[in-house]
Amino acid sequence: MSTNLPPTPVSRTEREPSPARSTSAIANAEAKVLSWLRERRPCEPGTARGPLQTVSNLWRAKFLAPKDLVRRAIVIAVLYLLASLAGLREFTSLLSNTAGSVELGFRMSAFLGIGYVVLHLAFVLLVPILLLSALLLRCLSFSSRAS
Amino acid sequence: MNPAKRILWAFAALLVAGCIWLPCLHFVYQKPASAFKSPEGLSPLARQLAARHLQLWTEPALREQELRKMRASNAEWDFMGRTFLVWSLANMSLREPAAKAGYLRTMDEIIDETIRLERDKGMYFFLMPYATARRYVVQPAHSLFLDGEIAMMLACRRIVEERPDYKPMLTDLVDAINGRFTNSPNLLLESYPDECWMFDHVVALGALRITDALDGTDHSALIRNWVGMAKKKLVHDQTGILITSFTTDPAPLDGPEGSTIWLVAHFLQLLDEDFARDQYQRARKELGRIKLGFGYAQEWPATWEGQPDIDSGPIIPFFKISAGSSGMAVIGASAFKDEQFLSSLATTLDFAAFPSTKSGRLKYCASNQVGDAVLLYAATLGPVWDKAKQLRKL
Repeated sequence: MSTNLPPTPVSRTEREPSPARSTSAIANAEAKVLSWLRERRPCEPGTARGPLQTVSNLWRAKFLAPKDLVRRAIVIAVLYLLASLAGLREFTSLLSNTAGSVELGFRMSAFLGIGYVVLHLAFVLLVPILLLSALLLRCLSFSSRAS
Repeated sequence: MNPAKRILWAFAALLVAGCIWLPCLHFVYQKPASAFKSPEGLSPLARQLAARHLQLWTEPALREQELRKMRASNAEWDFMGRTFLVWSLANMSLREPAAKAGYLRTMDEIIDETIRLERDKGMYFFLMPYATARRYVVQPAHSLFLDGEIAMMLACRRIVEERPDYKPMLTDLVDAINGRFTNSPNLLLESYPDECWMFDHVVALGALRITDALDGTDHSALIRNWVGMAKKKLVHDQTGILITSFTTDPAPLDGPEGSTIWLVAHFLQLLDEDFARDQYQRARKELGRIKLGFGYAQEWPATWEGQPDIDSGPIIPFFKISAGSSGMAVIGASAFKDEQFLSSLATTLDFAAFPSTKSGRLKYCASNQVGDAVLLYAATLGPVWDKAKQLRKL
């Protein structure tokens, strides 16, 4: 009987998986790697995990896209709010040639006052324009998609 | 969409949004003129402004802080802040008789302290430092700026309610002013060395007019002669607006200026009604502006080139907005019942003067105590002039 015979050596070609099996394995491996990578790349759109990553993703926008315009409006509004809370409104007395604080001196008072005036103008003039523009662009993109 | 196209669309959207928003912006701040000045009683705004000023006179530390800020720029403002407040309180007393006692108490306190400071520290205490740089032409030196405004404070106090010890004080002051006018060949008196100011002349002559109404004296010839002289010699040729300052000769120094003419037109209402209205209308045409619903005033007409100074305040380029002229324009618009201009100026105040209300007390952060006192005066003026005119007729 041939049972005592050493096993017939398998040809090298026989050891290699069949082409069909090979493609499926590679695809699986690739899928696993991609999945792993996705888990470790928080900035990939739509793949964020956790609140910070979500905020970070929300914050990302293309230059002058609607989201970018809203983002700029938010930045201005926050800066204006902070300046108001810090009491910089008092320093706008430079508009009447009066120092906001004798202790800080006229130059420093004027610097703070000008900063506040600029933020105020940005808030009342730019913020509504930025938000309106974002709205217009959104409407435009919806209508172009619909058509 | 490719990036270039997206950016182009974005700019187009920004442009359209700007065209929509800018003309609508004033609606956010707009108020009717009556919200600033009510025909009777006090408007809510006047009440809040007054509350802040009265607080300054009941809290010395707070007043000291405000005065230090102003005196660092201009000692005159310390003085003018007092006079505008007293004139306002006089009008408020006639508008709100129930609150008169409290207002009179504050008026007396301010008048007494101002006169004491001028007596103890000398007239230079309330003048800018350059007053000491030269010698006054007429000796002994007197400043019509101080004498005229103190006389007007006393006159306003007395028109609300007589105070016997103020009567001889006002009489002495008015006699002194009248005597100096009579001795002046050109009917011009100095406020600073060889520097005469239109503002101070109309205030002083206004005080004479109210004194006539109170005491039955008669300075009408002096007033008539002065107005006649001013029409001939002190008017800017191109605009017909009274000039701001001049020497005793008289040679013009500053031409027509918004920080002066609005108040001058208001005081002329006591001296010559028609001339007053003429001056207001000219100033309104040459200096008053309403853009996108916001009112403001320029310091100089197009035909006069001046330099920014302590009175004009900083000039905002392009629109040439002057804080000094715009603040005084509120008095003009209020005095001549120019509702549209007054409403638009009040809109600008809310937009760009940074109002701040705490515990029912209002102040404009972009302004200072004297600026707020000017606005309070604009929000309350009327009854004192009316009563003076009534008394004269009687």
